Amino acid sequence: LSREERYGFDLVRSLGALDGMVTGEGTLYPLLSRLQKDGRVASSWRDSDAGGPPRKYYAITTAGRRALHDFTEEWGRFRDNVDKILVEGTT
Amino acid sequence: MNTTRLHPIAEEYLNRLDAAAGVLPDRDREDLVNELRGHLATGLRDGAPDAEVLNMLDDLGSPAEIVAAAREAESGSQLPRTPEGTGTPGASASPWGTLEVLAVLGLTLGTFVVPVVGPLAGLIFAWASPRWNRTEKIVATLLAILPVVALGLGAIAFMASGPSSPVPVSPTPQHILGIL
Repeated sequence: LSREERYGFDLVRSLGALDGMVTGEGTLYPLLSRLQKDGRVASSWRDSDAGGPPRKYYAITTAGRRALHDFTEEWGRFRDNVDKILVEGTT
Repeated sequence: MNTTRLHPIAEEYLNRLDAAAGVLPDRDREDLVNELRGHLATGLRDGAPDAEVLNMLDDLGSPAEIVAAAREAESGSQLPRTPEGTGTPGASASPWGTLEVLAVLGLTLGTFVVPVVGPLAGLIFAWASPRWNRTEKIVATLLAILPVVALGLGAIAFMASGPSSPVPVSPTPQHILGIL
């Protein structure tokens, strides 16, 4: 979402396609609504162009961007430390 | 939001989801069922064969699974991840669990027993801990990193002083005699 807003179906399908990331795609909807309650994403319903059902679009908020930034840094540190241990453990 | 009837198998799935979501607050339950209905309406073309509907439902996961995720998302990180009744009562109340003990052991004893690897493992345990909050984790990290930083700075200072300007040492009787 940091690059562009996406609608729920599209977002959930692409996350579900990542190997080993989610067990059930449906479990992502509660996460999205939790993010929305926390003010990290905002949503709006919009008609789809092909006359299909309306779509709920999700966009990241400023608070969401900040949280993403913090997490990205924290995750990087965590990953580096795990990598270090794994490498040193095998040599 | 969008009330068109879906494939009977999909409708039956949404009914089961709605029933399972009875444990959620009314608004959350409604939102959840609406979201899933929208998902199925977008993903299923009219007259989709049963197999296609079943595949899509498989990808979504069972209603029980989705409702469990909703409950977990709503409780945030305040509650233990185990469902009520199966977890140790009050497990999250104490700041000490296996991970936390391992973290402290790694960060303290680990430094002497297995240098570098020990404290690093301690850090990982600390960050993986569901009981410690962010501040506590940051403090643990700083405590682990500070000695390394201090050592590094000391080494740099030592190298910078170079061989031509010997590091000043505390005067010994020999030094004083030499000067005299």
